[in-house]
Amino acid sequence: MKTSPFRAVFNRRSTAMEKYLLAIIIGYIVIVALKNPLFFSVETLFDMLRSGSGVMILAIGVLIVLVSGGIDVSFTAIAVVSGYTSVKLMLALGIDNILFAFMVSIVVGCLLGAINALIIYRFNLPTLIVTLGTASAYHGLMATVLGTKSFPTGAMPQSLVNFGSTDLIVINSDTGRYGLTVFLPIVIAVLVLTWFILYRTMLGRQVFAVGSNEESASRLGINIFRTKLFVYAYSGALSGLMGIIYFSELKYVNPVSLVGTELMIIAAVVIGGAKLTGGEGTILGTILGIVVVQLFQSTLVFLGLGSSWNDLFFGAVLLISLGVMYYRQRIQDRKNLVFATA
Amino acid sequence: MGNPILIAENLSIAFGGVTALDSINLSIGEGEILCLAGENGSGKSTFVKIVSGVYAPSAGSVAIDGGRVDSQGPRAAISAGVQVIYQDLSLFDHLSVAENIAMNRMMHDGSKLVKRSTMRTIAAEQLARVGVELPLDDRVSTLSVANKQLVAIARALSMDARILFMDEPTTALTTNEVKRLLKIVLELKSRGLSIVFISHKLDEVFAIADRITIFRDGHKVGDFTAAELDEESLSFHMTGRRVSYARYHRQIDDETPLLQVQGLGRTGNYQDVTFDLRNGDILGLTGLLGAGRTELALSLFGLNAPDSGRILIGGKPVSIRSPLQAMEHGIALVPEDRKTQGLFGAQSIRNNVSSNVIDSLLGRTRLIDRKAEQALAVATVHEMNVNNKNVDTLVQNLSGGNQQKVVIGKWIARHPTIFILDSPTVGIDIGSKQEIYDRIHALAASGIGVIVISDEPEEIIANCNRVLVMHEGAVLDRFEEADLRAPEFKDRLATIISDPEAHVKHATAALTTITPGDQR
Amino acid sequence: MKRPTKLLGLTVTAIAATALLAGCGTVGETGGATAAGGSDDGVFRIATVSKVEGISWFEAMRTGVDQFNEDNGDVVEAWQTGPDTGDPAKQVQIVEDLIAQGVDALVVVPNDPQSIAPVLKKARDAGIVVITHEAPALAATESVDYDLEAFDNAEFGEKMFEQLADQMGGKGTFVGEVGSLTSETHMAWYNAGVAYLEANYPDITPVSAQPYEDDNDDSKARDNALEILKAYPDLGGFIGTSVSAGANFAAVLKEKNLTNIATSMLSLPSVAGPYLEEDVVGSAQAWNPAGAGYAANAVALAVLQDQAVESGNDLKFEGYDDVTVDGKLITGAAILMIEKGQYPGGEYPF
Repeated sequence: MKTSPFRAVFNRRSTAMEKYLLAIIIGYIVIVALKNPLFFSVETLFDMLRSGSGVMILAIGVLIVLVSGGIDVSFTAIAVVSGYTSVKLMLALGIDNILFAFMVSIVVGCLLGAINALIIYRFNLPTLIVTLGTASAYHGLMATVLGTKSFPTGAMPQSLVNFGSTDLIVINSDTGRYGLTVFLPIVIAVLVLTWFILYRTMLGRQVFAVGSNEESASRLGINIFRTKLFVYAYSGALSGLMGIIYFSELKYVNPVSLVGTELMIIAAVVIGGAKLTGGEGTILGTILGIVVVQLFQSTLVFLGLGSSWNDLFFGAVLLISLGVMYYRQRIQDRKNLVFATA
Repeated sequence: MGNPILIAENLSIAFGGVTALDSINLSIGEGEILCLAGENGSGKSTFVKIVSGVYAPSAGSVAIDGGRVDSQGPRAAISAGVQVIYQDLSLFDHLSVAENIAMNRMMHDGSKLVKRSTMRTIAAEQLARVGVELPLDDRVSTLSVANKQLVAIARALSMDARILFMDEPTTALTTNEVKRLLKIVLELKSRGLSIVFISHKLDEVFAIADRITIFRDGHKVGDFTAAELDEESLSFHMTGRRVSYARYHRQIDDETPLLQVQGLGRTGNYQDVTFDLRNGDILGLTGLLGAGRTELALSLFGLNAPDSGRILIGGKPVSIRSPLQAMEHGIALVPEDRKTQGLFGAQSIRNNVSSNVIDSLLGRTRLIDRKAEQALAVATVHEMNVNNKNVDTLVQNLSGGNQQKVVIGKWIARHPTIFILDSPTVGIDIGSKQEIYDRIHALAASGIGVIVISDEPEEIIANCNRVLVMHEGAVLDRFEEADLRAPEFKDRLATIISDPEAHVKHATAALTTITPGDQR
Repeated sequence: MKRPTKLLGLTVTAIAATALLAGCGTVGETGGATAAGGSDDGVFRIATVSKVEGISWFEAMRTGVDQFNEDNGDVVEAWQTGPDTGDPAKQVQIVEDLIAQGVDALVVVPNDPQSIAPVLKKARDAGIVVITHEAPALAATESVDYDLEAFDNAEFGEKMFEQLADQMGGKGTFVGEVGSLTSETHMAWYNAGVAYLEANYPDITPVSAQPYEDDNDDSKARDNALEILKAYPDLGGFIGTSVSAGANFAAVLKEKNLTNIATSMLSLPSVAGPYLEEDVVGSAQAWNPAGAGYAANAVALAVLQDQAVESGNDLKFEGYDDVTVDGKLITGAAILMIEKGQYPGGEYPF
């Protein structure tokens, strides 16, 4: 039997969902390119890589939480709170250093995530309820203690502005300068690290095990608290990382933004094949889900459509793809004489 | 019995003042198969949980090879070689076969990283010990129950198990699968593994057990050899009373069929099934798991559309495409799995009982008449003799037997004319069993048609006046009341059920002489 | 299931309580300190309610309110408060509280004029003078005494487009981006501007019939900017009526090192200033929130003192020294052109 290139790389078959998403993406790109050939350029690719970086990092955090059987809606709040705390601290201490920014933000994000895990485990509460609560609490705490004053390009730490403008490859064309963002290696590092943790460490396999069946996992002697602590702290750390990237990309520090986009990101990860019931989800699927979202968001001008079309496209893809996925499951279940899906 | 490796002495435990185990003395020898028998609540699972370190006993001790393992937590028990395969198998559906088998061992070894090759090696080794081959990279969710069982065994062996507890391992297996499992268990024994087998299926118990230990109400009744026991004495020891079920006789003098099933089939499930059901009939539908009986019952209830043949009710052909339509035709189904299909566990008894008849409880304002609902629920718990008469009790807090009474009561409240009960007494204690049988008899005597699906010959004999034996989707044989009354019929039926292949030849010959609907 | 339900209830209560406390903290902090005293001593108490506290725009407005308080200390006690997020419901709650406290006048910058109208009406019914800002639609209702606008919207739009046309040399194509197609003021500016171009610069045309929207979201505005530059390689100019639109377009221009595209936008000195200095942005307009705060309080005081509010009144702040009054709508001439070299030290007021 011939091994497909995909199998050689990922050591598994691609899921039906991944193939389906890939088809959507290719089909959509062809349509946009036909409608407006200007779309089909390296510059578009580079620009999308830059705009998609932050969301991609958040999505990876969402993926790992979903795999563990939870659902976290506090990650955008954590991103903004950690990033803003870091910026405030830099301004107060007069430290204008990008590494310091990342360090503070990641540590704060990690802590806030750990608090989520602590509450979820200690009180055995549904993760949605807890994170819904902590999202408000974290943001409210920040607004009360640090305020919500925004910092425009001139007033924010310049290391962030410079970092956001750093490119790995710079190309000068007649339509201006563009480049490959420095965010890309960070995103790739996050993807590789997460892949390694999820698939190559016991901890990662335990995350899948806990998401698959928590009761069985604890019978096996898996430390449920430790696993969850890792999941939420890791997701929090990724959010913290994203917070700085977000402010750097926009070159504008606005602590009342970003919050409110979490469901869109969760939906993208779910489109990518992660199940809300836990135990299932792939990194490739998540990447594809985010590509779909990012593609819709940044092609409306090319298509000459208003921003409400974005919502329409996204909603349609969400419903159709999940509909197809669950319908197939249902047919399968019916064959096995199961009439309700848990 | 070889050298004893596990010795439990004076083991007692109480929960909130209620003694769950009282001074149990038990020893298990090397390479011995011990069968633990007892009713629900007799203390079997409590015993397993103490041995595996989940509970600490209030008195007494458990020692393995002379070292105490009680009160040391699950890790210590595992290190000493105790492995438990729970009834739900505790596998991870989303992970591969290899991972399921190897994870336990790798965790125990303190591995931090996962290497695919190591994992596959461990898994392959363990599967080889069990003597089977399974696709290592497939997800466990795609395996049959029997193969999942083997994965669970392989996982247990990977931990250098010395004593393996298996809790009702054969419940969901077909005959051939059971045979294969029992063969594997015997092989493991021959290699020195001790096995504690918890099962209520007597033929299996008698086939493999070196010794049978019976628990009742937290006490050990005694140790027996298979030769010392038969079904009757076993159930006597388990319940403490002589139970003989009253048999049912149809006394209605009306031959008009209520339900006629003619040449019904569904590809891959069952084919060419023909039978009549009259008022007052209790038709036994028997055969092993996978024979097509449950699939047939689901078809009659509109959940598994047949693709050939027809169904007649009151002489008229009907099409049943949904449970709602089935209910309109007066059909009721008590499903095989009451927990997920028959009940709303997190709801009160009252809500469960009224859920089926909610339309008839609507008052003039189209709102639910709470008084009528309460009255119905109270009447049902009394009629069905549910032990907890408080209808606000959540159903999930009832015992299996009482849950089943609620399910049956809920359907009776609808006054069905055709009542199908799929495995109505699985996992139910003998006392409740008798009460449920009495109810079934009374219902049939009142003039409705009942179909009981069961693979227990005793249940069939006690309840049915007609029997259909199914095998691999086809009707293998059918018996009328006269056949059932014959002495030794129970043994004959048991033989047919447990070894249908042998009967096929004989039956094929017999069937050709019967035309569909033949009353003999 | 009893236990989890109970716990859930407890948690929800706890969260609600935390949120409530957090809310109170903010309100108390900004309003409580100066709220002492009563109106019996002949001092009028005037509360200004911002859209959201903590952001630089309304911090600037506060300086106007504080200055007004200082200038009229003998007859007025004026202060500013507001919700900690731009939530219309929280703003309504704050107005309710102020009504209960019995203030003499309210100056409100509504997050959502329609949803706050009933409670403003209630305030008026209680004898409280109500002045709004940035809500011209309310001027036609019974909910306010007056609405104060910094300038005439059509005039502002024309000015914005005039700046663009100047930079473009009178010809070429341009892209417009608004916060939302349903935003009343943004569309008023945009439509007046397009009409102005048609009449005066017929060689300048928009690339699309409708302007693009950014939903006042920075990420979206940024994505739009990147796309616009690729989709229209020959673009001559850009008009942004939301602060997000202008700021992100400018940031992208700077990244791409493009200086040949004309830009005119609504902005803030602190946002547009640096870009103006680097010639990335051609022109930026605003109005001074401090002036709006000062003038709106002045109107409130005039009503409280039964003075006539009519065209030609001087509200004692730059741009409001000769206001136009049309019914209940007061319009100033307070367009603020943000210019290169205006804030050499980088010290922006807002």
